[in-house]
Amino acid sequence: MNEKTSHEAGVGDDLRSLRRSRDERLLAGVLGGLAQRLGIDPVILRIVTVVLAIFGGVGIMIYAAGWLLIPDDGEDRSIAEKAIARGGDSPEPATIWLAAGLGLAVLLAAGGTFSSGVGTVLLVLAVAGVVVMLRRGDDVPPRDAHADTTTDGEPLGSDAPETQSHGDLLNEAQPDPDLLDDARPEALSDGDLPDDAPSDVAGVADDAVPAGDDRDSTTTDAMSFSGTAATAWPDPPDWPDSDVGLVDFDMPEPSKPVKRSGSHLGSVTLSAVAVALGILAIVDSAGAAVPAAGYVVLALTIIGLGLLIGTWYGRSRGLIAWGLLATFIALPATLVGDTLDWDLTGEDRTITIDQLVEVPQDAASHGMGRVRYDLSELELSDTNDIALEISQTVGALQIIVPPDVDVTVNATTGMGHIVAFDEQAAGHQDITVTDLGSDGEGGGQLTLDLSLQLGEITIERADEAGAEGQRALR
Amino acid sequence: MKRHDIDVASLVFGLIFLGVSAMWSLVEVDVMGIPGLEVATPVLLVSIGLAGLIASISRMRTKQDD
Repeated sequence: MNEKTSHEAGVGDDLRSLRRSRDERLLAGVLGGLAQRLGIDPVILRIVTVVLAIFGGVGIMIYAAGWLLIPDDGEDRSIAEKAIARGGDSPEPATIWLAAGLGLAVLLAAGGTFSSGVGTVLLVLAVAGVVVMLRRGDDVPPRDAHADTTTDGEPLGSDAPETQSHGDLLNEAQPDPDLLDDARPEALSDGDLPDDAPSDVAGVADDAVPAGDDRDSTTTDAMSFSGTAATAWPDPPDWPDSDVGLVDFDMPEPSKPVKRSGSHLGSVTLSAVAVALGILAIVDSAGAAVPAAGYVVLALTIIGLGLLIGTWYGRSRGLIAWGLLATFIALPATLVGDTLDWDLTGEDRTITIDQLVEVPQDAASHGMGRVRYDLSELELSDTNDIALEISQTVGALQIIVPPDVDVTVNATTGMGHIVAFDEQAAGHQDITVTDLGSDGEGGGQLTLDLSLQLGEITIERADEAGAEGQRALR
Repeated sequence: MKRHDIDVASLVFGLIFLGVSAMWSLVEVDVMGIPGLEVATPVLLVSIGLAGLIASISRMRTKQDD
């Protein structure tokens, strides 16, 4: 039933050990709990979340997801798990599917903000940051309840509230042989204690306090329980849970010891990813045109193959997090551009073209900033047929065309927004618009070939743009 | 390496990641345009979901037989 929890410790286990904090709580304690787990100041996370909330509301969705998916301090199941698997046996599948669904919702919400683009990039950075910090947290002694149960003799972590240790014992000790070994002495010591209250932890704790001098660290645990019970956590209704836990500790005899990291599939796959990316980089520098997203997709392919192997041989669940990360990155990488050859020089200027001779014959290329082509004074006769080809990396590209000229626009953006006269398009776009002006056909022909990686393209008639032009001049 | 029971989560996510890679490649070499994604994505998800369901059910069957 619970065999899934015996897999090697990965990001999933880190996430499952998260609790919403009761001490550091402004709203629901999501960020307080995460900060405790990561060992950083909750204020930092609050600022990041507010920034994410401003750029496209992603922060709000992440916070809401955390509220639903992360169990409250001292509990072993989240609000969502309680709602879905009420009394169900294994809460884990529900968590996985909920997380996947909410992840998709966040992705869709981010998709709605592609016109700014910033929200998506921040989201990817935030997810990557949390994953990296969780992985890093494995190397140092963890600050969560593992410390309480696995390191004998060490004083209980001052960061981790003692109330938490109980919920986590219930949650994780059962399927994990390492923890079992450590947890069992406690259960046994409870058995050694006076018979009048064999399964009552509160009673045990009360008895343990006066007799505490010659006891080992397991008694420290019991003492801290009583201390907590007297101060921070006075509610008695939570204690019955612990009875269940004590009973459970006696039951499972692991049939065979499960090695925590018996499989090298994950590390082999990630090494293969590194080698493949290196080879692709060599191919790239040798002259083949490799799109930016090609690197991410290559990594994703190899991670997918590793997971397929892990379906039958070895353990590779840790790769799921890496694959999701690569998927999140692949999307903006695909949309933003085909190559990394970007002109990143800053620009902010207006180019005025009043006469035919000033029309550039070659394609113009701009970097980052605001670029404005003002053709409002350009006089064309019916026989004139001119073309402008303009590309820009990031920013706003504005073209003001003469009032009567027939204009054909071919505009493309990697991620952004196009406004061509009355036509609008957003996202990863490629549009063609023809506009004849107020006089219908005639008055010369102008063809605009515009491309912008990230930002907004605007094409306006001179008479419409007149007022705005005046404002810009002032 | 010893063969173990089908790990459905690895199967489903592995297929999803390979599917995303395949779709990206098809779009990149212009076999399938961006509009083709509207068909390909649901087809991919439904078939992977069915594969996961079948794997789960066959796993449950073998568990019961034991």
